[in-house]
Amino acid sequence: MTDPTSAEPTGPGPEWRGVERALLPLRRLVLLGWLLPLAVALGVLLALTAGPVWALFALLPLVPAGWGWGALARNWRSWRYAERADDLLISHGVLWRETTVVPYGRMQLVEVTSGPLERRYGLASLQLHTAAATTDATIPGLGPAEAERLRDRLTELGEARSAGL
Amino acid sequence: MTADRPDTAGPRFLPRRPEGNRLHPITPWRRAWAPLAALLAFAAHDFRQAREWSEQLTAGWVGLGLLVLLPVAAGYGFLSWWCTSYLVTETELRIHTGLLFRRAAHIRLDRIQAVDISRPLLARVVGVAKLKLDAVGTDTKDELAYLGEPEAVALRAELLARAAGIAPDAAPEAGEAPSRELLRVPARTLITSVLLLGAGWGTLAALLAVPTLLWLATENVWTVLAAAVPLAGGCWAASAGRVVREFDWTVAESPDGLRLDSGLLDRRHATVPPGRVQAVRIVEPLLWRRRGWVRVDLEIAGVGKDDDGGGVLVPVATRQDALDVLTRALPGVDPDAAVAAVTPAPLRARWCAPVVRRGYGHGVTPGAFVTREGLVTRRTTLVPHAKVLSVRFSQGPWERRHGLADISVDHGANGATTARLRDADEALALLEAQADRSRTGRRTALPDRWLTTPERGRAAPEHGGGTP
Repeated sequence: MTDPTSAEPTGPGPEWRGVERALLPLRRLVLLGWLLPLAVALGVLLALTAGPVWALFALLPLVPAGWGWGALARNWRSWRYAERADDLLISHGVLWRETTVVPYGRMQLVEVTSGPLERRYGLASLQLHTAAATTDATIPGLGPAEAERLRDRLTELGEARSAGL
Repeated sequence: MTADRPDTAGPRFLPRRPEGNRLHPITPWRRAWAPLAALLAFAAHDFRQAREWSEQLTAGWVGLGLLVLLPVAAGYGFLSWWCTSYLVTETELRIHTGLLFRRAAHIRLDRIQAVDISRPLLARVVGVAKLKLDAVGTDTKDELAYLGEPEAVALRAELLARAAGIAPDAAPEAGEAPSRELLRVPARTLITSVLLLGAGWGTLAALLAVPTLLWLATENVWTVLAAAVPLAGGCWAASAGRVVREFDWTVAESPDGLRLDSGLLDRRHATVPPGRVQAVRIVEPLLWRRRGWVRVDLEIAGVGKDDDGGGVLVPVATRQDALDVLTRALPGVDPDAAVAAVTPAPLRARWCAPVVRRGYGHGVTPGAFVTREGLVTRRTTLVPHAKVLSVRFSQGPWERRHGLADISVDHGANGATTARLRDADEALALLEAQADRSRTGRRTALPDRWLTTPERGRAAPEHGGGTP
């Protein structure tokens, strides 16, 4: 306690966990769900108004779709989280990297949400709220069982280490 | 609500009165203005139609209208006063309001962040005051308007004493805690400091230039007025309004916390309990620096940044005086050491932020996380380690190329402060160390009820929250 910088309660390093593989097809589906209809609509519109050659421009939305296909895979691999003795670490991002540390004692609310599409893929996401609205700590793509385990564990730890403002 | 208590039952034709104390009987007269104000707002909103109507009005119609409106307004005022009450219990302050839509606010006493008494000019004449409460997690301030002045002072003392953890039976008699003056801002210093700010001159220049240009361009009086009125308002707020609001600013120390009194026409009395300050910002505008003046802003949970005058600890003072006051507001933090600990961002950060880089700085002391930014107006932000809610490391591709990264900490006043463009290795080490530091900082921090001893302080919130 005298020299907080040298305190090392967690041992050699945190144990990182990734998120479920099913998150990747889900995100790719959403990506194509936006860009394919756009390409088709653009193609039909151009073919009807300007001529079939111009309709080739409709292939343009497919370029970001192809890039996004790979980028989503890299982004999926970058999502990871670690439970340490006193805080939760969440890290994500490939180009823009972000690592958030949330002490258990500071969590006000732990929320597990699961939309219809996520449920189809057997996924849930976990969101942590502290008293600061700027703390945006979300872990997407957890298995429902893992999400519930994490929620219960975080709530329990949060109560044990709770602190006022 | 089930038992028919004698003091809550009125005559049968009146709605049930919620239990508790009433506001001052002057209140209905203020409330009576609401319908009239609504009518005026409607007239101003639909100006042309209102003028058409006013041309058709005769004295008889006006009289009839007043005959109908005044009793309705008075009745509304009376009924809303009738349905408003407050009650202090062991753990809560209960406020009941609303005639049609009933609202019952129960504010936990140990969550109260600050209690303000404000006395607008008219209220000062009548001898009443308004009590405003800041609690954690509420967006709007709950207020009790109006109370008799002695009653307001006594209620504030009782609320603060109970929030501080003085034995509940003794709380009503504890009375106003004694205070000791720490700082008083002379009128001359305040006026000079406002004159040295860019904002007032900027809006004044805009006020002179924009309407003139608009007049030359359009020659339409209404357009010119539409532009000039908001600008004049801004100009007033940045210059004379500021002097009026911050006139005779006094900071005093008492066991309740820091007392802030200010105002030329409307007197404002705020009390900031110790240990509830989430972050502190030392602001140094360019033209103040030669005189060594600074302003100190506070961030307190539940207090909005745009509240009038909200969040200012010291409007202007010499650096040393301001830092002395700051020591009282942030127990356990040494502001001098914090300011001295700031080191600038590395030189290679100029590839990311060519000019503003020179403003960026960051430092850590045993008490606080410190960041600095700004070239023209230099802002140094101090967040005590105990108040840090989460820590974030972020790095974009361009920053990674230069081995730089940003570290942000979030605090309880819904805000974050960012140490920009630090060395990436240093930032990673900071991320680890800051989490540890805020953990140990919390253990040694003051208890929520700051007058209780540490042993009782840990037990008190559970006890207080559990028994209603």
